[in-house]
Amino acid sequence: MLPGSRARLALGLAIGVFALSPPLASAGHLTVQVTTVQATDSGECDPSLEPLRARLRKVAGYTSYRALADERRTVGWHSEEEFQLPGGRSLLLWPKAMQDHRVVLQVRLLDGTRRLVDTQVRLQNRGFMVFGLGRDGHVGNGATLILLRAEN
Amino acid sequence: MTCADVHQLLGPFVDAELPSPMLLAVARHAGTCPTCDAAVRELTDLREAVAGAVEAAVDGLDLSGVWQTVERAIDRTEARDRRVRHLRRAGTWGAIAALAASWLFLTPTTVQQTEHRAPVAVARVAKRPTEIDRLTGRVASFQREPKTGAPIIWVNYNPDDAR
Repeated sequence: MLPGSRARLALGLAIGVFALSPPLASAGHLTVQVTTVQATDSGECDPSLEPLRARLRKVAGYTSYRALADERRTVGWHSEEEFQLPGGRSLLLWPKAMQDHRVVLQVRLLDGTRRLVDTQVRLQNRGFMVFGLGRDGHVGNGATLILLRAEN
Repeated sequence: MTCADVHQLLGPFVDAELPSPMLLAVARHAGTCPTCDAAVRELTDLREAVAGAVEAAVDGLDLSGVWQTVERAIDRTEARDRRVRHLRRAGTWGAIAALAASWLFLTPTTVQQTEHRAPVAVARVAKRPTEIDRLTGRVASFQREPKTGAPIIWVNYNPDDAR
């Protein structure tokens, strides 16, 4: 095959693949829910968190879970969203795309202006992830869990 | 952690089988190294494609009778063990012949049981879809919720530190 023919073939294939590939970001709405939970070894468990109690106990080790804040919001793609959390903290999100039924998100957890965590995740659609603060005796009175859930 | 280290740990990293500190070390390195990041993504995509195909195949299987089959096989095995103990006490060549016959009789059941177990184990691997592409900051440890595989990032956090 001549070099010019190869180049044309490669260009044609590239254009074909690009034209046939699905768009990265779905046109659908993205709903994000951020729940802040106080985990302790004493006190009652919020009824709303009772279904999660056994699972939270396995990972966090505490017996009681109380919701401090819960916010659910429809967010846009490729735009920054800020969720204010109790205690002067905040969660910054940049929803980037849907890939293979997962939500690609950049997530930044801040304490005031101090950056605690910066991560990019591919979160299962309708799945959740958790940030835990205060275990290992840093706070001494339980831990704070920040549950992040995304649904497209 | 070097690129060579990461490449050796790619498989267990993608399967989240590494201890938390090592998982973090690999994630941190991949966050700053485009080559390793690409390698992680490539392997993740490959495993997901395989797991997806297997999961689709498993979905089509009728596994409703698996446990009944397993329980029957266990009952047979226990009965066989009882017979073996009895025959050993007898200590005759006839006992050895009976043992051989019972082994031949039970072998197909054992094979069938193994065939049912394999796809179930793979399906469990497929149910861990949330992945961390990059992770930096004050991360103390990383773990996954056992049932869903949801990531839990523990932050090294002291609220008394000056803001």
